[in-house]
Amino acid sequence: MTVITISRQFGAGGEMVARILAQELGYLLVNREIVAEGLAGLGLPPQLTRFDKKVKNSEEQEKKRRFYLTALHDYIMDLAKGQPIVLLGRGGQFLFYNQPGAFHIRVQAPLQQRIQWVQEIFHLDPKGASRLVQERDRSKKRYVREVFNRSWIDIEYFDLVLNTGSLTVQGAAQIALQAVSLHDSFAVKEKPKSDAVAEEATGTGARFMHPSEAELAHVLDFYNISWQYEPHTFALQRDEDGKVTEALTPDFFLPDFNLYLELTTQRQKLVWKKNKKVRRLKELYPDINIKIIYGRDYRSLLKKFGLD
Amino acid sequence: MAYKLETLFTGEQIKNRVAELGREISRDYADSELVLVCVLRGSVYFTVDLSRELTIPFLLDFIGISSYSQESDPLGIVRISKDLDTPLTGKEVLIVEDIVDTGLSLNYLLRNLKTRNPTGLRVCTLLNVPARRIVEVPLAYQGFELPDVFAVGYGLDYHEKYRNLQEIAALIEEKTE
Repeated sequence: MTVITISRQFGAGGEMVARILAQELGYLLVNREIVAEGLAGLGLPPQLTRFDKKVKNSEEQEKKRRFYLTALHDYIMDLAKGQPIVLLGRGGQFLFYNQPGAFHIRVQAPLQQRIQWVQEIFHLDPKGASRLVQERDRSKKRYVREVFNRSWIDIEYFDLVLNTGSLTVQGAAQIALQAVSLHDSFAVKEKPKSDAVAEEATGTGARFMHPSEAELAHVLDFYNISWQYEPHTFALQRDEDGKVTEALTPDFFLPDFNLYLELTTQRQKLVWKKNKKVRRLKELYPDINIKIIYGRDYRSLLKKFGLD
Repeated sequence: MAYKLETLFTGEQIKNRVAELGREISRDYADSELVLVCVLRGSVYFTVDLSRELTIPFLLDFIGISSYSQESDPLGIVRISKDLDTPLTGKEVLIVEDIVDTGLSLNYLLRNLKTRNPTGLRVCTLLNVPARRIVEVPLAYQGFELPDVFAVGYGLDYHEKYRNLQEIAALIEEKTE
């Protein structure tokens, strides 16, 4: 998996840096439009795409917000598994924290500099620009706090911090490109993968993409069940050049049972895409045993252990 | 959070099914030295009623295993909290469970009891929830198959409540308006 995440202060030019990176590297830029398109494809009404940064103001809206956030994060994870991405915002540095193949960049600039740029771009007076910048900063801070319970400006989550107050946006993007190419995780990105990659990742030290995976691993550990995390990737579709265009990397392999487990915490009506992939895997690889653990089954598991 | 109960199996249905299982097990183990291993605590109710339906001699023993919880040490593993008093070597062992869903704890129990060299080792469960199975385990006898609901009653609990219900019911979250 290859992911570059860009966290940015409003008006610091982070979106431009993301676009340049995506273009230069040939990665998919995952921004608000892509996310809205993807979620709409999953049957989510468009107005929910505006919920993710709103403060909860009723129980019903809170339920919708959490539903949307679950779908959003699962959608981004799915995208990232299929192709290299540059993820703009969305708390990507937390989502992919400690993930091999992930590089986290923060783009920021002094407040006065950002206010000036926003004035120019949005044709606002200084007061209006200042209000907009600070409101957007507050909104981003709130989103991260509510979704990830973290501080938005926690430096430890970033591999690179770029100050576009002293660098140009182009200069910042070039530095980012250099840093990405030098990063260890990205040095192995050209390693060819066969249909079933036998890179074993045993239990100790595995880095999980989702808290539910870590919890399931704990449960399996508790019951003394050996597991490997994402050890194999199965090609599901290729283009006419033989390049893999769709693949599935099941979350767990239980060697004692010769069984793959794919955990999905999406709501039941959103899992059709995952079901389709697993069905395709079973058609192409009939000797592979794979089971999906659905969100409702996972929640039942938590309830059984008193973790609800 | 508020819950409501929806009956899955009445006391009468449970009683009839337990009697059927008793007859079946009595027939299958007619010439054996049978040990009923009751898994604490949920299956106590089922084990006592089942044993009353047996027409053959048997030994009764109890085993407890720890359950995964958030309080578990991250490096903690499942362990026997209350072990058997009966040696199992050369005996026909029938584990009596209240419910088998993920198969995780039963898998552990089977692995553990196998090391004690019983002649035979099989499982009788009151409830089977195949939809939630993570690891496959062999079941020789089952009372009822359940859909994917959270069941309470007749020994099964939710946070120690509902064990004493005469029936088996689904515990359902009540939707608030």
